[in-house]
Amino acid sequence: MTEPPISPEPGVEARLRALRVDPPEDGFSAELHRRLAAVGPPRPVGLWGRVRQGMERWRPALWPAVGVAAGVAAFLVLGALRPAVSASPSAPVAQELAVKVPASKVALIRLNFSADVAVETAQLHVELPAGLSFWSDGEELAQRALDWEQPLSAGDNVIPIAVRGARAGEYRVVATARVGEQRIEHDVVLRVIDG
Amino acid sequence: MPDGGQLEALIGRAQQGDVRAFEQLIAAQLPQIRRYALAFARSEADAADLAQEALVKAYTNLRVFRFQSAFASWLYAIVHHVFLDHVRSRRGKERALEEPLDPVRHERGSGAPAADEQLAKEEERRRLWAAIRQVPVDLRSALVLFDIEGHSYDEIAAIEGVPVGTVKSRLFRGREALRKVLGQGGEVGGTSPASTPSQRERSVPG
Repeated sequence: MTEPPISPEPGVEARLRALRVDPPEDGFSAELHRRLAAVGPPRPVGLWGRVRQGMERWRPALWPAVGVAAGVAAFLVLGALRPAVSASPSAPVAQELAVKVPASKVALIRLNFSADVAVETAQLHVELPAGLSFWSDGEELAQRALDWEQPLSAGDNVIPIAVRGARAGEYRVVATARVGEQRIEHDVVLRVIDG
Repeated sequence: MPDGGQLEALIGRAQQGDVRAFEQLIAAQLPQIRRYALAFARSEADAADLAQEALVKAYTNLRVFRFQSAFASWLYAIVHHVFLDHVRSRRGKERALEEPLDPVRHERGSGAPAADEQLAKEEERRRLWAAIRQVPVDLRSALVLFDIEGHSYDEIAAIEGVPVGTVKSRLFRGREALRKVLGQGGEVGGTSPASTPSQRERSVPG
């Protein structure tokens, strides 16, 4: 993954640059305006959008800035389009890690939905037990579960989710991925300690 | 692209449903986005439709934007994902498989000289875009964004949501793939089973 980029054949490089030509208008703007007007105003930001926004704010200095944020990696193997796994959806190997997090700190759970092939739409579900709450933009969210749909790329699809434990204890976070008829569920253990 | 307070005001108005404000926001990016769509669509008409679909999606999701990044980067990231989804969708694959050889390209592919310089340029442009569409989809993005549109590695990394090292690797591989396609004549159409999008995508490392 460290090969230095090389230039295409000298002639090709110039030919590619020559493609930087503005396409003809051909009524594009008028048609776009019609479609924008027809679709109505932008949608309100849903719960999942708020959570993702919170994550975006953390992204530039993710772990150091959060300080004691802890990571738990949940590895879900989606056997999408793989008959052997679809027949036995509980078979995927998942590595379960228990991580200690002080009760006063926000923990970052990093879910890694790993797919063998690109998936157009996966239904994802994360549910928290009583005692844990989702955290976004410096605020605790009242919802106990998140449901959303998104495409998955072939390979790893890491999704960070911030949670906070109110008091010490061991908590099990349930993450579920569904692709078509396949449904895979996995638990992540989060150990909240005093402090 | 408007600057500072003007940009913020436009985004605020657009987030409240002001279509004209949104159109002002994206005006500077329109030609680039329309060109970028050509790498994922089989005709200029399809590319225009795809670009509009992506821009409508950006508009409907505009309230998600909260200045966590540059607006142009955010816009490109949405457009990029819509284009990739299109290629990976059943509709995109069916279109690719059904795509007939362009009759104009057929005729001129025999080596007959173009009638005039303008036609020759147009033919060259079509042939190059056709060759680019033969490049695996993940590699294609880096190739177009870097070599045609002139984005930096950092910008492309933000748009694709991958590390800079991955962008460099994809660019390297994309150029190799393009060189190979052009070396083989660069002809497209009649996509063979061995080069369907899904199979090409699987061979692309992160």
